[in-house]
Amino acid sequence: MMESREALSKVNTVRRVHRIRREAEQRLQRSGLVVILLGSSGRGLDERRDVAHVLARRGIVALVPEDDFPVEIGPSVLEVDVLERSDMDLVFLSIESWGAAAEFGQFSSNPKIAPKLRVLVRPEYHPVHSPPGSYLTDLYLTHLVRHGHVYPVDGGRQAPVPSAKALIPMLVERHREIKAFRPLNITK
Amino acid sequence: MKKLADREEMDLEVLDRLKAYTALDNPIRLRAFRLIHESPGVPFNEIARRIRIESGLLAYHMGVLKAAGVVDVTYERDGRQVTSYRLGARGEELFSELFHKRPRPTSKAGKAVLRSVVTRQN
Repeated sequence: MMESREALSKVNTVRRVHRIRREAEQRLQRSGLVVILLGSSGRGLDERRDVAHVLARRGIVALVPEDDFPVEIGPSVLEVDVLERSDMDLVFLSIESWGAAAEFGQFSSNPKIAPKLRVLVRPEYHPVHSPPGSYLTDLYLTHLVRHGHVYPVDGGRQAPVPSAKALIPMLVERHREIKAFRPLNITK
Repeated sequence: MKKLADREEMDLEVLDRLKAYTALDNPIRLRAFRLIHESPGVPFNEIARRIRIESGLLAYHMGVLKAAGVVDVTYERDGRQVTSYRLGARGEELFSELFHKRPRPTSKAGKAVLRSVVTRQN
């Protein structure tokens, strides 16, 4: 009897949390999202932290594994399994190193992760901005045709394309608007 | 009509609420949230053991709670590094909102006792 009452109370709490979230979503006319920002360390990490800060101010849960994961696990153990099974909405991957390129290959070929994947590459490697030639550019072209979502980022360094800090919040904002109003119009 | 600054402030509050409740809107994270409230300073491996979930997936869920500002994290070295969790001020507020029962309306008998105590004090 006590156990069933406790189970019922847990179910009620889960429902209540969901209802409060829906109320906030309706009020803002935007969906709540969980996104993860992956990429290389060094300057790339600082940029991801900046982006996470911008997104957090907009009510979006933005994970930077190096900062948010427990030390027992470490950011490198972000298993494919976790990205597949979790309730994560979007996976942003800035490709600035061979390690990130290897992750891209892994994620892009996974049918559960690929639709959530948003790939950020430098214009010189983007198939629309540069002639295809390298193996990686060819992989980006395949992903672009299959799933879309391969974006050049530069911040005006060489080409007139936005920085990751400008691009990611813009994409996330539109995604949550579509998710709130026309959820069937997006694959993820 | 509300001033623009008021509206922006209200929106900020709602945005913060949306972030927190997006983080809590998952049964595993909600269980971890309750556990951390009951055992402040609980280490990551203990949460994994009590919730019975593999550590890779739990790392993601704990990351969500941390990124949403619902939990505070400390790192200690006890031979190896240990990550411990407790609810921050925001987390405590959310916990009260979700779990603390409202005081029950006092019964007739209770009211009579209260009245007699008040009369005696006066």
